[in-house]
Parts: sequence; C-alpha cells; structure tokens
Amino acid sequence: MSIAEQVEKELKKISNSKENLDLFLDSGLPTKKNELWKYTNLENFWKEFDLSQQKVVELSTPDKDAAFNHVFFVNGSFVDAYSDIKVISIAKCGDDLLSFKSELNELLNKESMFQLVESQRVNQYLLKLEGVQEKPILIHNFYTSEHANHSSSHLHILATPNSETTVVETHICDNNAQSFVNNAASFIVQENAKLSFIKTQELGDQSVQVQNTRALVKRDAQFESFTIDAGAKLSRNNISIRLDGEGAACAAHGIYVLGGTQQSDTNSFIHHNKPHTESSQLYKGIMNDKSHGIFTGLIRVEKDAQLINSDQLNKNLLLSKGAHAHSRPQLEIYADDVKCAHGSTTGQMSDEEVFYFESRGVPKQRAQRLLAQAFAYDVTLKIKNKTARDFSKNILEKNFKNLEVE
Amino acid sequence: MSLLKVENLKAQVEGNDILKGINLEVKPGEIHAIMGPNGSGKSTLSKVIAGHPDYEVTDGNLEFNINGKMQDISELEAYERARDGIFLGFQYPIEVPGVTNIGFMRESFNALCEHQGAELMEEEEFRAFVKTKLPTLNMSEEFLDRAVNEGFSGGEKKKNEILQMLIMNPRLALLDETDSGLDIDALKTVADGVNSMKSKFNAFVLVTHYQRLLDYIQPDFVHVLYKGKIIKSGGKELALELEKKGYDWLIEESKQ
Repeated sequence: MSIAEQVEKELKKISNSKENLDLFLDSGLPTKKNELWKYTNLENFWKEFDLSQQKVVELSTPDKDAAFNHVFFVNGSFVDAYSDIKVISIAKCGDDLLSFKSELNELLNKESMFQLVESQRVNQYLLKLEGVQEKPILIHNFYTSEHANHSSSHLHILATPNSETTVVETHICDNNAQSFVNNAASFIVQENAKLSFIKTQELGDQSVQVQNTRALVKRDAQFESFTIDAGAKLSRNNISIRLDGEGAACAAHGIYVLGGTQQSDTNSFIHHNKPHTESSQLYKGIMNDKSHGIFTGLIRVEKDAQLINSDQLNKNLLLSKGAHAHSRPQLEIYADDVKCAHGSTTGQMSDEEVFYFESRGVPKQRAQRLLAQAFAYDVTLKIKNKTARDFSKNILEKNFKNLEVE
Repeated sequence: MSLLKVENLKAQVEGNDILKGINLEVKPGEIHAIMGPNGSGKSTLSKVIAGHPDYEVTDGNLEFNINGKMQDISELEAYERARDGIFLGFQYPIEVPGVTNIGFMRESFNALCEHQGAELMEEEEFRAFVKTKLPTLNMSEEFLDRAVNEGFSGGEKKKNEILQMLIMNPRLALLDETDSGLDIDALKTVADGVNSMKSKFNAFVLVTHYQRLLDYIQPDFVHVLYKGKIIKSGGKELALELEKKGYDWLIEESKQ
C-alpha cells in the first residue's frame, strides 16, 4: 500500500469532520500532478507513516526569556503549567471556534494538507488577543518522538478590534527526531487591529513541516506574516491571506536558508477582495550544496477591488552549482485601476562584492558569510518589534556560522 | 629602504597579457602618479598589487616591506595584503546592499586589529573614532548608517573610499582613478583627505587620467604607462607636459 492509500485508510477511521474528510479525499495526499505541488514530492520525504498522535510527554521546566510572554505546546498539545498566556481548547470554546472556522472557510480550502489537519480535528485551540501588547508572545512547539510520527495541530488567533500584538512561533525537536509536523495557524484580524506573526522553524534534518497559515484581514487592520526557515529536510509553507475590508493591509515575507539536500517550498496566495487594500511580499532564499528552494505566489485582485497596491518579490541566492531555485510569481487581476508589481531574481554571490571586502582585510569566507547574512537580514529587518527581530536573527545566525561557498 | 618594489612584473587576465614588464620602486613618504592612455594597464597594475584574484602574475617580482623586510607578496591573498598595509581605492566603488557603511568599516578595521593582535573596537567607540574623520571629507554622519555606497552619488562614493582609507591608515594607498567623475569641490576634498594622511611613513600611488588632481596632491614622481610598460618617468613637470602635449610624442619616442 502506498503512503497515500495508508493515510486515506487511517484517516477514515479517525476523522472528526466528515466535511473536511471529503475535501481531503477529493484530491488525497498532494502529488506532482497538483500544479501547486509540482516541485515537491511528499512521498520522497514521508516514508514512514503513522497518523496516530504522539503521546503528551512531561516537559522539564523551561528557560523563559523575560522579554516574551510564553506559551508551550508539546507534540501539538497545550502545556498549561508553564504558559503565561492561556489558550482555550476546542472542548471549551464550542461555537466560538466553529464561527471562527466558517469565516475562513474558503481559505486553503483546496489544500489537502490543510484538510488533513481539519479532518483530524485534534489539538485545536483558540487564542484571543486584546489591547496593545508591548511584549511579544512566544509560542514554543516541541516535538519529542524519536520514531516516525505525525503531529497535527491548529491554533486559531483572534485579534480583537484595535489590538496590537506580535506573535512569534518556534518549532523545534530533538536532534534525532523524525517528526512530520502538519499544523495550521488561522487568524482573524478585526477592525483596526495589528498583528505580526513570525513563524520560525529549526527542526532537525530528519523532520518535515507543512505549515498552513490563513488570515482574514478586516477594515483598516494590518497583518504581517514572516516565515523564518532554518531547519527540516522539507518545509512547506501554505499561506493564504484575504484582505476583506477597505484599508486592510498585509505583508507576507520569508527567508529560507538551506544546505545539504534540504528543500523549502512556499505557496502564497494574497486575495484583494476589497478596494483600497495593500499587500507586500518579499521572499528570499539562500541555497547551498544540493538544496532546493521553491516559491509560488499568486496575487488575485477582484473586480470591485479598485485602487489596490500590491507588490511581490522573490530573490534567490545560489551558493553552489548543485543548488537550485524555482520561482513562479503570478497575477490574476480583474479590476482595472490597480498597482501591482511582481518580480523574481536568482543569482550567485557577486565576486566583486567579495573582493571589496577582501581588499579591506576581510578573508573570503567571512566576506561571503557577511554578504549572505546581509541578504537574509533584509527580511528580518522588516520585523518591527525589536525583541522578535533579534530572536529571528539569532535563529538564522547558526545557519551562517559554518557557511562555505563553493 | 623601499616600501614597494616591482620588478619586470608581467600579469594577465583571462589569458590576455596586460602588464608586460613593469619596474617601479616606491619609498615611504613618496607620492607616485601613474598616467597613461586608456587601456594601458594602469588599473590592472593597482589591482595586481592589491591581489585581485582575476589577475595572474606570470613573471617578475612583487615585493612589499613587511616588518622591515622586503617580502614576496605575489602569493598572498588580497585580505592578507590589506592587513599588511596595502589599500586599494576603487575606481568604481561597489554597492553592498544590506551592509551598513559603518558596519563594513568596523569589519575592516577590526580585521586589522585582529592581525596586529590589538583589541577589537566596540561599536560605540568605533563610531566616535570615525566621526573624527568626517569633517575633513565634508561628510555627514548619515552616511555611516546607509548601506555601503548604495544610492551614493559618484562624488560621495569616492569620498567614502577616502574615508575608508583614513580609517585603515595603510602604509601604501593605491588610488585608482579616484579623481574621475569629481567636480572641483569634491576633488579638493579628496585631495585634503590624502594630504591629511600623508606622512614620512606612508606612500601613495595615484592612478589618474588627468593632471588636475596633481594640482592638489603634489607627486614626487610621474610615470607614463603604455601597453603594459612604463615608457617614461619623471617629476611633476612631466604631468604638466602631458597635459599640454598629450601622449603621442611619448609613444613615438618610446618606439625609437
């Protein structure tokens, strides 16, 4: 039996949502026939299969940086004891969560990995954000298993009107763990609220993460999504944002730093559904060795969404002959008075820039590292909250320490 | 005692011979000007001395005074030569997006500190040090926090090269057409920068097209480069003569 068949069989037994199960079964596990999964063959990365949820394990007292408010999850399950902020589990939020879900119903509707999360309906939580929060929230996700296993979770974040929050999320695991993390984060950013969400990922090189991010941004609200990928053998980021009120704005930025045979695949969808909305995207990839970076981005502007402003840029830096990048920026515009710009570049490090450093006493390898860092930090510099920005920079720092350019 | 000694130096880039036997000796305290028509190899000479990896030395000697001894530097990497006190001012300074000017200069300066076994300079202290050099070059502090050369005008880029030179305080500064593209005020400013650093311990090699720069920086020697060889050397009066008569008479003379 193939992995796809095993998943279907297993899922039918454990599914908690018939509707989502049917949506999943429509297409099943993604294959290369799916245009949005053209460059990533999931079965190459997910060889051992087990849909059963990992047991919750005890967490030893964590170190908590006082600059953040902390929330802890282990294998997708909330750890109340150490968390500064409480999330509400599905059992306790009842209709709140269902109405939340129905508002976002159409986002990532056709993404079967998201439907896999939704048909299981495990580890589902709701977090409400209120007021202006100076301290960013740091959500820790630990994955502990040493065997092939699957972790599924879905965090729903509601940014209430006029609230302002920065949320950082980390995904880490034991060094030798072979985790398959398929998780979702859904956001409703209500009128005039500001929410910045920074997903960071430092999973070991045996692990896979599929992150499904959805956001509905209402009138005069702002949503920012950052994806900082510094680990995992495969990281797939599905991002779907709908600007659903006049004056709504969003940014979706990302940086992936890859080596070995790592692969990172981003699929972004920005939907301008109302006039006077703005979006901006900057995705950057640094690929070394035989790694592979993929970016597919679609901007759709509806007929009535006049006077919108949208830009999208994907830039790739290839550090070796064996590394490669695929970039597919796409526009679908039905309105006639809009400003949309998109572009993509892929190139190598400039020898002249490296020599400039060398002529100033800086050895070649260090010069290359500094230039790669500068390329990457262009993205982290866009994170407005300093604590969150430094945190993200530190995560990338490790990837540059031993960087060697061919 | 020499600072730089170039003997019968031959060099090529991508298989083309550019330098075909250069002889040049530079002593501390001296200013040399290298002039010559386009394509004569002027820029190549400065890049070869600085150690640009695209240029290959095929014959001759390239020696530099390190710790009081003349040493062969032809095998040293560019960064090692820089640490030993050779500075190259670029004809076309490179833009480096994402790296701040002050960060770039501190990286360079600390590379020297590390080489000399001195303590590295912290950010604040370094900024204060750099600020002392800004008035000479008519530069505002704002330039320190911008990305290296990004969006700088031609004149600002050249001034920025001189600022880097003042920070690194090299024993030998090779300035490759630092005067090109400068208006008269910027030219004076650049000259002020050079003159403020000049001492009996260091030397300058100015690669230039025009005599103009030499009105503000007095050279001790002027060399004319043509087809990869120095065809004439003289004092500063040679530059004036070239300004009047052009290069043709020298080229004719050298053929005889």
